[in-house]
Amino acid sequence: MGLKLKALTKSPWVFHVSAGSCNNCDIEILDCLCPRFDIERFGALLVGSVRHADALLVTGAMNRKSAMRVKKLYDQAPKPCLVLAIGTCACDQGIFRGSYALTTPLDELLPGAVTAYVPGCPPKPEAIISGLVKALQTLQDK
Amino acid sequence: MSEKLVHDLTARLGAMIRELSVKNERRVYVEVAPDDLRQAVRVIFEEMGARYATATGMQVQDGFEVLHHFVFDSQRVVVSLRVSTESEEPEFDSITPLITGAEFIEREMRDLLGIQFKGHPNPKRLILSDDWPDDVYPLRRGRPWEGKVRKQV
Amino acid sequence: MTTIVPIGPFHPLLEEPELFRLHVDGETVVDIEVEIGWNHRGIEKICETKTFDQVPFVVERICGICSACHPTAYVQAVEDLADIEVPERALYIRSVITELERLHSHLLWLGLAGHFLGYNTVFMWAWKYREPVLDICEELTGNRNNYAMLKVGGVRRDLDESLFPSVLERMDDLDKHLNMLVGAVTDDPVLHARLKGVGILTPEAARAYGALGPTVRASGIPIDVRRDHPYAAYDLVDWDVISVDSCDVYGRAVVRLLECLESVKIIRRCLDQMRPGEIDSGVKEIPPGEGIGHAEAPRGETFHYVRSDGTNRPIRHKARAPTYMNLPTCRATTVGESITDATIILASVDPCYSCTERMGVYDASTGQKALDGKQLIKLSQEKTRQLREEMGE
Repeated sequence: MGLKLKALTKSPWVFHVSAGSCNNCDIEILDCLCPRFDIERFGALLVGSVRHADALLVTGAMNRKSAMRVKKLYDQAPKPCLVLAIGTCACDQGIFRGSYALTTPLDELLPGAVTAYVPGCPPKPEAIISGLVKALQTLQDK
Repeated sequence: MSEKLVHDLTARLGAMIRELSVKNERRVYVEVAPDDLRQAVRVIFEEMGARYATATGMQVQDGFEVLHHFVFDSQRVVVSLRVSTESEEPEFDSITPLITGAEFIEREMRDLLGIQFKGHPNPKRLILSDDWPDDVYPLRRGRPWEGKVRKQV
Repeated sequence: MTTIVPIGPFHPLLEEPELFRLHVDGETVVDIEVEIGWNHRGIEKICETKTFDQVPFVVERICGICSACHPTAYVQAVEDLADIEVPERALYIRSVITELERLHSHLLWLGLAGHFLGYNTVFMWAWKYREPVLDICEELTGNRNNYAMLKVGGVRRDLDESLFPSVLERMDDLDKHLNMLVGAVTDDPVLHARLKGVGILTPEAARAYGALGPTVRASGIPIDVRRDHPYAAYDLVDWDVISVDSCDVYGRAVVRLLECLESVKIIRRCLDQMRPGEIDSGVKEIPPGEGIGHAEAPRGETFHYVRSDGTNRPIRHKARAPTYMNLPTCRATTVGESITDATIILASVDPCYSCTERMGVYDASTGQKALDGKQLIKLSQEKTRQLREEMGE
């Protein structure tokens, strides 16, 4: 593992994208940053620009209006970029599947890019942290 | 609770009322002709001081219907003002010039049901995505978008 | 020269992603446009394909943080349609769940408002005290959010009475912390300077826009569905509607904080007064007809309309969330204010405090990015810091 990659696994900066979610997953992600769950102990930091991000936390069922933005955001992110599908909606569109307002699911929108799926409605903060840690482990094997 | 209000409504709306039904003491439905809509809304909102809650548009057996819901908080009653049309290209008077808060819901009904509102100050698309075809209205009966809307990727 | 500042549409906490376009002249906001639809999922159409018993699970997911209020409004609409009586214990349970939700929602808002003003301690503390509430939700219902408790004619599961003593104990704790937070906000001269007289929403404007919840209660119009159209157990317990008439951001913050204390009161009394009994009236069929239900969510009234043709699915289900009415009031509140205050004003109706981190200032003439979201929050935080220095803190 190169030095850059090693540094990445020690301080993954995350960027959060909500694409047609009910905002429950989004709140749980923010909860991870707060004193009780404190994801910063893994070096993770929520950043305001995707160009600083090492990992994208994607929530939501891919609404037609926002899905294209998710693709653009992923294209702008520096690679390697981990993509985590947070919540059942991001994994398989959940209860909203088949709605006219939705488009391609996340893993078809970004083929091969999704590193980890964290199912749950909403997933508990512990599950999100575990998902992030497992996603980082995939880098360590490289 | 609603008796006094119903009495008041009947007195003020008078001949405009096509049908008035009291479902229970907290819910009243009034139907008026589309031409009388603005006048009726003015009476309920401005003279009687109701709060505008929202509107429900829908496609019914023959034509379209719009229900404007007004809430009387002190009397504990919700009054729904119904207008309907049998036309395949529904159009009603916009009430946004009277009630600012109606702007979004009228634009939404235009997007989802294809109901036009005469005199709306800002008739732009509200919630559908920009690549959605103009003549497909998702809340109409069945699945009208099938075969007409492409997947994005 | 007018500069356009787009705010949104994406950010971590989006409740309903929106795009605001602020037209600014120098530092003053001269116009604002709102664009929504980034989160449209076609829920009304999905509901037409579900049975009456399945719909609560869908409407729960309209908004994660109103996940008890939307189903409450929906089941009340169906109960209104079919004239269904709900057992008393179920009414108490509905009240407990919706009040727990109001508590954690208001604490969440308080934390974020603190963050935007540069008080990160408030952010961390409010979220810390929010955790016990989520724990209680998890113990009582099985999930931190999306409780799946509501059902037409009653509730889906009973509350375990053996948990009540520990819940009450934590409510006492929370009461202490809330009083501390109320004191911290109302005694702070810097917060007064930042929030008082900012983002004025006059009672006339509030009525024209149909504003709801804490937004309108801070403008001196004391409407609250819980009292005006009693549902669940709100007419069986004693509590007060909080309203102030300052019409500004400060008023909205105070209303939310004091409402938390009322929620604690309601939960305590409900748990006290609750007696064992039936929790479900066993509804079998829904007749044709139409029904309306509304409930007071943390942000205001949620309004549902259901029509049935006698089959097991609704033929039309309309849901209206409170932010739908509150959001357009930004046209009345932000115009004329300084851009450093725009963040907190937009946050004060509790729609999407969140968009701000994805906010950028673009120079209209060159289209070049002049400021990004972080810098805008910094601007706001900087203003607080300067004020503190000036006031000799």
